[in-house]
Amino acid sequence: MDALWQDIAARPGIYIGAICTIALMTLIYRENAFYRFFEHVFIGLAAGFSIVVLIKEILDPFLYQPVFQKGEWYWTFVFMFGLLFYFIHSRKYNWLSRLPIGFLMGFSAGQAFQGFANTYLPQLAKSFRPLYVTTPDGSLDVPQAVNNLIFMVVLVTVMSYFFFSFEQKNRVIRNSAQFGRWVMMVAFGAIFGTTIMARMALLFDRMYYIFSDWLRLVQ
Amino acid sequence: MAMTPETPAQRDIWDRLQAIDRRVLYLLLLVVIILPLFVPIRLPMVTMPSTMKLYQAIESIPQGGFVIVSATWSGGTRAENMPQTEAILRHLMKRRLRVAVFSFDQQGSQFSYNIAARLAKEYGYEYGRDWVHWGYRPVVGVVLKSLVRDIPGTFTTDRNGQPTKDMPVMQGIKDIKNVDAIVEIAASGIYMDWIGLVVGANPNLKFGFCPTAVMAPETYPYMDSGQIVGIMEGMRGAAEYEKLVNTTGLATKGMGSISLAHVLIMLLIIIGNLAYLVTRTRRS
Repeated sequence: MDALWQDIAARPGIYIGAICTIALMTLIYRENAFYRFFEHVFIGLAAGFSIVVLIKEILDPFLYQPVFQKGEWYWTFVFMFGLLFYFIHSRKYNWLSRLPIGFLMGFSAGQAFQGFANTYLPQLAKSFRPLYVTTPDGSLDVPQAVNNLIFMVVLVTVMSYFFFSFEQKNRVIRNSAQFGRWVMMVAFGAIFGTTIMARMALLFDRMYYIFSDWLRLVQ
Repeated sequence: MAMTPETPAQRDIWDRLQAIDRRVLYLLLLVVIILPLFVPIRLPMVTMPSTMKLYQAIESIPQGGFVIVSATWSGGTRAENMPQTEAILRHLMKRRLRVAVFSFDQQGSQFSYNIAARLAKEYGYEYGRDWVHWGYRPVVGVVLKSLVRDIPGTFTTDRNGQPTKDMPVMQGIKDIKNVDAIVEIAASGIYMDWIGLVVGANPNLKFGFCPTAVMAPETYPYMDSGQIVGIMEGMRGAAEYEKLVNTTGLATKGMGSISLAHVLIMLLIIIGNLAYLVTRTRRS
């Protein structure tokens, strides 16, 4: 028993982590107070940690130090402008909160426009692909040509599925849309598969923590 | 949904297979995850082109080049993003590249600092000379727009509040044109912000992305168009990268467990569908 207490004293963080892990995993069996308590502990810790980092790495070096130690008093105007957000809770002075909101909306709109152009225009340009592709020695590059053909078929059929402006009576468009739908199902299946992989990775990490870091049963 | 017979006596094996208690399935899952920890399963690992492209992009950076690593993840995705962060930093330090780490997530800032500090000791990296940690930064759009034009002005201090402009690691770094590569390790769609606001500003910039596996499929079109040079997909991608940099980390150790878990889930899906088909056919 003494050995256990010595181990706990030497590695308290590991023990707390293990207890938290087991507590949260009890939900698998059924909802219980033990799980609920540690869930709240986790949320509280995460929120508290965020606040500390925010004060230490943002408010202190970018507001407190410039204003109170370097005499850059004009930054207080930015701070006060930000505080106008809180007038959203006042019925009488509610309009003041619209000033920073409007500023942020204008900024976000401009940024979104730039982002959209840089993100999607290259995509659009790369969508035009040759179906006859040659290797450097001039012969037909069959794998690349097949790749490009598949790409074009998928692109056109998936886009035809999203023709919602008119009823798809035409047989060609109807079949194309149907094929596009199937192709999308394949994509969703791939996403679901990778989701499972991600979740299994999370479970493995916790089990490794329990059996390696805590119990030291595996290397 | 198939109708389940009302009395247990009427139930046969196909009915029972469709009504397995979820706790039994969880138990099976736990067993297949834990078993390879004690009986390691060594499966051959083929490196995917997406991982290889990221590796080759880092390899192509000249020695002494400057790379920014953004670790926008938290404890919730530690299993995937931590091995990714470790693998990429290990590669950068092996190649003696200058490294600047930062995060748009408070927890990611702490996690990435711990990993980088540990690897720095291993590779003899000196803080301030070979690497720097810019700390946590909020508001993605503002930071990205700012760093395109003025990196020292955007990251005036490191995570400890020390001025960065006099650090040797920052010498010659003025704007995005002085950066050789950016690697974003994230559990969110932040790669869109990088592509939209930063990547186009320097045609020679290599932008690598390390997403969680859930997000990987949606990022493929961007690698296809060349906007992302390579992708390290979740824990699997991290395991492949660990193999490329000749190390055995958490991701490599986890591949046996994850492979077995996938086999179990596929078996359960097949059994469930088979049982459903049999009962439906019989009743119709």
